[in-house]
Amino acid sequence: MVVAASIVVFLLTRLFTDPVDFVVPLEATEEERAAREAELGFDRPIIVQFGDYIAGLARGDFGESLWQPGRSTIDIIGQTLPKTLLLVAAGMTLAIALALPIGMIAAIRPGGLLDRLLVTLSLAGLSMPQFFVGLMLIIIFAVRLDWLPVGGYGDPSQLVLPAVALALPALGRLTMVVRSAMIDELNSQYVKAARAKGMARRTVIAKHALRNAGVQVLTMSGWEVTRALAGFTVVVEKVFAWPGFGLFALEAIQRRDLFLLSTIVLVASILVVVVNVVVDILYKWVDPRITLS
Amino acid sequence: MATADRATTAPTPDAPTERADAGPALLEVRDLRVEFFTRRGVVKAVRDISITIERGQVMGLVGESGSGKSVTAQAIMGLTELPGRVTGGDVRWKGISLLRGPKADEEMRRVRGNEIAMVFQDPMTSLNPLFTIGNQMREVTRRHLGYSKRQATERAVELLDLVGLSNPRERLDQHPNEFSGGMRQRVLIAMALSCEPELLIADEPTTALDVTIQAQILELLAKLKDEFGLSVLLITHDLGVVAGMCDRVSVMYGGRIAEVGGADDVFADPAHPYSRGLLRSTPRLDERQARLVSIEGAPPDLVNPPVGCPYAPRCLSAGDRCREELPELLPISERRTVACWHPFAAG
Amino acid sequence: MTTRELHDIESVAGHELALTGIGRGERASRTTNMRLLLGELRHDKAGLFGVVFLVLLVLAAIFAPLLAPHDPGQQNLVARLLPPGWVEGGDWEYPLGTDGLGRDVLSRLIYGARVSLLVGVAVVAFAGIIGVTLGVLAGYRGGRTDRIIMRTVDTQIAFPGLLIAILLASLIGPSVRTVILVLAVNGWMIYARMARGVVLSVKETAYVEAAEIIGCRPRRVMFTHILPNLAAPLSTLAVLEFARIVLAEAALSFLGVGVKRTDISWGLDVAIGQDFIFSAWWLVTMPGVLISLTVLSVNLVASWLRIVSDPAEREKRYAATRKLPKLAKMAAPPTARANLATASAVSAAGVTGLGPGASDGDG
Repeated sequence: MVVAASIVVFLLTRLFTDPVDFVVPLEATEEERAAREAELGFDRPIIVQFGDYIAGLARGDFGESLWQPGRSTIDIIGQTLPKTLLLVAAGMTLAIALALPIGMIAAIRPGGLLDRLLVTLSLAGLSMPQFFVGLMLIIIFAVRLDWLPVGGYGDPSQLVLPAVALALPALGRLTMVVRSAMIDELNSQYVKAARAKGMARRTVIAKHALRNAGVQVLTMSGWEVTRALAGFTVVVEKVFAWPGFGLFALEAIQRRDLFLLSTIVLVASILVVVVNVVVDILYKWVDPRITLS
Repeated sequence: MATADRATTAPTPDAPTERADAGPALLEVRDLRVEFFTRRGVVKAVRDISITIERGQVMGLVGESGSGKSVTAQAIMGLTELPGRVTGGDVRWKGISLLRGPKADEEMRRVRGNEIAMVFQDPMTSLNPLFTIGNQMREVTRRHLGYSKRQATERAVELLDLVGLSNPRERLDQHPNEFSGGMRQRVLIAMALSCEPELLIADEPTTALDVTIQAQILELLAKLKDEFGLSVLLITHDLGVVAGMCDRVSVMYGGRIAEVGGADDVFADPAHPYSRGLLRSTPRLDERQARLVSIEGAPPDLVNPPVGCPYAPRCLSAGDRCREELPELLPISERRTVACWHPFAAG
Repeated sequence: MTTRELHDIESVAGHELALTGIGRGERASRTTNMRLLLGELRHDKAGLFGVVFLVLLVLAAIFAPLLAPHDPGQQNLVARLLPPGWVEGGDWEYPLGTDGLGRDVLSRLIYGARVSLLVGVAVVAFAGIIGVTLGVLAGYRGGRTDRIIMRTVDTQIAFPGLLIAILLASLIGPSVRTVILVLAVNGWMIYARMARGVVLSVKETAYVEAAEIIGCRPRRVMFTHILPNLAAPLSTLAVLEFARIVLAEAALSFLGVGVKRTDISWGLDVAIGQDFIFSAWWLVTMPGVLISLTVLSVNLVASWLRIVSDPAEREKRYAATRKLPKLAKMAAPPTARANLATASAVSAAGVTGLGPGASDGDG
């Protein structure tokens, strides 16, 4: 999959445009252009270029950025990725930590007043575009109330708004999943049997049903995290000028920095794979019936 | 604790047939009504039924699916869930109401799983697949008897041994998926016995099992009954099971009780036409029977139940009165009560 | 927004499949279903809101030239950055205010509905057709066809979808057509999975097997059953996908890789308004709220569809929203009276031990 991703990106960028267009000045002559092309190796057949690229990867050479000449792409990623990871960790922790209790409360009496209120709120949350959530947070908390900075990176207070913006839609989606999973479990026979044993309703919900709903919740949480890592932070990073991975990906795309872009896609794919492995291990922990393949 | 409670309550004078001795019955269900509120209408699943179970007695509750057997059992345990609701009647445990009065909820929580235990039909889904057997067994004694983890473990080992599982100590660390259906039902029975209950409600405990396993489980129940003087409410649609195990039997039809009597008596000589029909449609090994006779027609619509006897539309001996007036459950002899305008003579 | 988000939708759709299920397709005639749906709508106020809002939005998009008070592109440098009419300094000439070039916000919103709805419908249609065709093919043919198609689906779903979408869009160049193409290419997989699942379960049903046994051509039987069985999950999936696409279009336009700068799109308007976030809050808020309301309406409609298709859930909901009778007073005069009599007799006789439990009695 990781390989497929890099092949596709490589081909797309080479076939659709001439990357040299973006690195030479507009007033460059044909000769300057050709020289630069030769220097970067873009005059060779695509297959050769690709073989060269793969060979580089095998040596651990991810290539040099076109947009910031002289900087290794992996170096840029090394600087931006931790910032994105911090943002994702903060946002997702917030979303998951809140979604569990809220979804459980809603599931206790499906169709009841509280449930309908929470469902409507969750739907509202997941219906808002992420950039809009971010801008609203800025207008309210940064502009009007002046409690928190508008954006940027460095101070812990600058993490709050982007993390909340990243968390809110995920919170809406996860709450719905927790709720429906809990409703399913609470209808199940073993819950009835546990109640017949005399276990308190609270115990049954918090212990039995929650653990069983955990498998579904875990799946969805894993998706939320991979989704965020695979570029979905880009909108939030753009709104809050958070100098992470997503923002650089956007820059790389707009500047046709295909070496940087390839590395970004490669790293994003690896991250997705890593998260999936972690989720698989957690599955095993939640559900002993699952055997790792 | 139980004896103290008994002293505080007045004896119930509702003495059906053979009990003249003082003291409330172990379990007394009176005029219980359970309704399901669906948009098709209110389904009157259980209509004003009364059941009394004495200490040490095994009561069979038989009827076809949809007759209200399981709904009754769940109502007794306080496990009725939406869209269902108990809308009338009372359940008294040793004379104390589990439904009414300010302390009913507390009493129900104390009694459920402790003095009254329940075993369900489907052992495959009644255990939580994600917790070990030990964890699920310890839960019960820790909650009701305040056992420490160690005490609870010892008790669980003892119980698994009692229900005939080998290597009980190792079993405790296993998950339900490592057990067969019969073994799971044994585990569930062991779990139900954790606090030495006085009444075991078994809701079709053998229906989901293979025939040979069924026999083993019934044997186990019979053994436990004899050993511990356990009272049992055995819910089943299998008359053979009732005949083998029960002292008394209540036949349910359309949310009503059709007939109550000694198990042997009812089998030998059913008084209600429905009991008779049910008996004739069941294969028997001990008697040579020319052929099985099925009951014509369909069970009643419980949203708009018939005004008269619910069985009247299917009953061969039904008259006008049967269709117009609901028969009360009345004694027709010393040991038999029947809800029928034209009961077969029974001794 | 793009592929990652498919997962969410997918789990919902998977759920959907389980609920609406195979075999329910033929449970009732279409007309009864329709009546049921509409009947349910009266009970579900949220669903009703969603339907009404969407209908109004569609009408607004169709009759935009008649409804919009101004030309959405017309600049009026005298009336720049006017706040909405009800705010101090506002002018009811421009009910929702004007942007940095003096263009009427309300008119732009009305015209913006066209892009959102057009992109939503077109992407759902294209992705749906591609996905369902490939999915049915994979499920029906099985073997190598199945493996190739599903492997493609798996790989593409695991891609960092948004990045690929942005990349594609920026390569082709911004335009409405680009957005439709990019999102359709990115969104067909979920339909394929769903359609394949339906076909596989139809394949295993008794009637297809029966048809095979009696020598009927199973192909005919299958195809007559696939479509009805596909209808229910497909409709809910399409509705949810529509919501996702509206969000995705807004995000792409916001990032500047969606529609052209001269097009009118809600997402683009938010991006433009971002520059005035300190001085003109309405520029970001108005289109943002409209996107949110549109997506919310679609989601409400979807959840209404879901409840309708799940009988058990429906009954629960029905009972939960209804006032149910309380436990009736014991109406058993003979026993109750006798009970009381005995109780008083006992207390009169001065029997000790009438503890607190004695108060537990009939209600």
